[in-house]
Amino acid sequence: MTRRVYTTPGGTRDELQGRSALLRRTEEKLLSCFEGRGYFEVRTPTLEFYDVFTADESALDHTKIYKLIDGGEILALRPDSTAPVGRLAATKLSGAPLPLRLSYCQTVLRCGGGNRGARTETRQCGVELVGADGLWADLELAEAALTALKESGLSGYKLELGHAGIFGALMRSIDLRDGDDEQIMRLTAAKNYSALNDLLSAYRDSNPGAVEAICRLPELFGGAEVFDGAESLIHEPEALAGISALKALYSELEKLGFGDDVLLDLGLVNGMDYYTGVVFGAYAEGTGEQVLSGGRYDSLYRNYGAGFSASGFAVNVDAVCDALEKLGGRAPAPASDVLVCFAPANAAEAFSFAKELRACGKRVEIAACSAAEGRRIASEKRIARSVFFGEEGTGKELLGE
Amino acid sequence: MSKLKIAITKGRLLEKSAEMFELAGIECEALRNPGRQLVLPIGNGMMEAVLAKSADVITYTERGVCELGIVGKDTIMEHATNLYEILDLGFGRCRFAVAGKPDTDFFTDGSRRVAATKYINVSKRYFERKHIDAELIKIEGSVELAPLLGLADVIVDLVETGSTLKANGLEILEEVCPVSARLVVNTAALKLRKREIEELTTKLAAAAKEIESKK
Repeated sequence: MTRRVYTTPGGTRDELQGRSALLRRTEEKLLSCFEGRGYFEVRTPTLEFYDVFTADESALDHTKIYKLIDGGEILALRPDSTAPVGRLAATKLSGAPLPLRLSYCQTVLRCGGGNRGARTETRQCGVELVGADGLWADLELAEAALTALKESGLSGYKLELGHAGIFGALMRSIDLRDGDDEQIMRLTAAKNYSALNDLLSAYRDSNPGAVEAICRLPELFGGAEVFDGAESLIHEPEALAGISALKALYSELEKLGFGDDVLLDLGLVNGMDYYTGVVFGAYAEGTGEQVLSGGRYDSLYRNYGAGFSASGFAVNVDAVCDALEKLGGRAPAPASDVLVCFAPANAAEAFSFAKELRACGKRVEIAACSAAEGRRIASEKRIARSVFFGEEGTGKELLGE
Repeated sequence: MSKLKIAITKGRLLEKSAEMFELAGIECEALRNPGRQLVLPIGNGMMEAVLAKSADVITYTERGVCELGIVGKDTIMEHATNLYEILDLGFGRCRFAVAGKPDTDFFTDGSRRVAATKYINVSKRYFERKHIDAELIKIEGSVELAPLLGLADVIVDLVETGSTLKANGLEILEEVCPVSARLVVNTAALKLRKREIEELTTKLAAAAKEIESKK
């Protein structure tokens, strides 16, 4: 058998110094943006009980979860952070004052898609706002999402907003045959206008207004004009409540100066069994992937024995860095600032000099070699300066300037 | 903003796509004689057409290196996709069907059942829906050979006129679903470049309709 020791499995990757530094910088910016809003970091295990992710309402495709058997128990490699952070909040922090603000920055794993360029391992950095709902909670999250997008350095990004209540209410007002509800959701999510029309034509008699509204829902995306279209089309009271919630949120975001960065999509219905209110997604120039996703999932915590309302979002740090590298060029490999070389007799002197430099914030490498060798190493490794301690020099001799 | 890139499935759909672009008033001389070039300027250099195999059209569009794609519904069905499938272009029409020798009792006979196909996922879903646990064998080329040589009881394949089936003594046992060419759009691109893409799709929708009405 060939020993596979030279490569990594499809969908995973090694990150070299430049990209690793970019990932870390981006994660630090995101976490500090969240911390500035009172969201403090928690960490959950990579391995969880599978049951944590198989709550009745789940946005996850179960076939995408890596499963392991350990002593007869089914374990899962964390495919998402919202569920584990929810479990943590509902159990270990159940007595903490609400609202609870938590952030996380960890890897999630999902199988499949490896050979189509999709990642099986993704860095997600996000927040959970637990025990708060209504306009001001939604606004807090949307503002945090927009600021996170900006501070991560993306350009041409848009945060799109939808509302699960609109589609949900319309669907409930029609007496659907088994299986058709899932199909309608799929077609709406894919903006497959023609197939949606064909499928719904069978229901035209039951509730013509609602059927027409569902047919047109995928078209209702864009700017504020979406509200005009929606209000003339939709008459179900519950759906209208969703629209007015979205409208209020949109107008508050405009007041905060985010008007140009926000889009609406009333046809945003992915994972609609899971979301119960506002839904977020974000796109940016330089990547075809979503850079952020989230929303409100008020029934999620019931699975962990708590009745808290909850909402949150996660930034796909890998997609953000893809976009940054696509537009700004590949992140260069970092280099040290100074190379300190020394002759054997001068080691102590060299180490203490390096220590002084590091105390000033310099990145300093050490090499036991001659001055000439030091110059060669420095130029090869793109180190701006090299210093030699030894008999041939009188210490602190600056070379290669 | 960069030029809009549209990935087009090589072969039959390319010819029809060129006809559609012309009717839509989008210059596409390059598509008529592509030669060996794979990226071609169209719309007087305002857009780029990328010629690719059907499954790759989906990959390029899904990954966002092309904003749009023209691809058959068969390929979309076979590859679980995360794309907006915004337009049924109406051309490239044919159907998925289960075919076999005329006396094949595939659906009621409960013994071991073998189906040969290029479309493993489509077949799997279809048989699952019918509660049939057929054994599937992936064939890359002429699937019709499989029942003739006794490798499989039936095939699941795209059928346009049915003449290949007939020439090999096979017939349609059951139709699965109709397929045709679709215009697909990357999810991020539709949001970030809404106006451009909507302008284009309006023109293409009208042209596609015109092609269909001429038939």
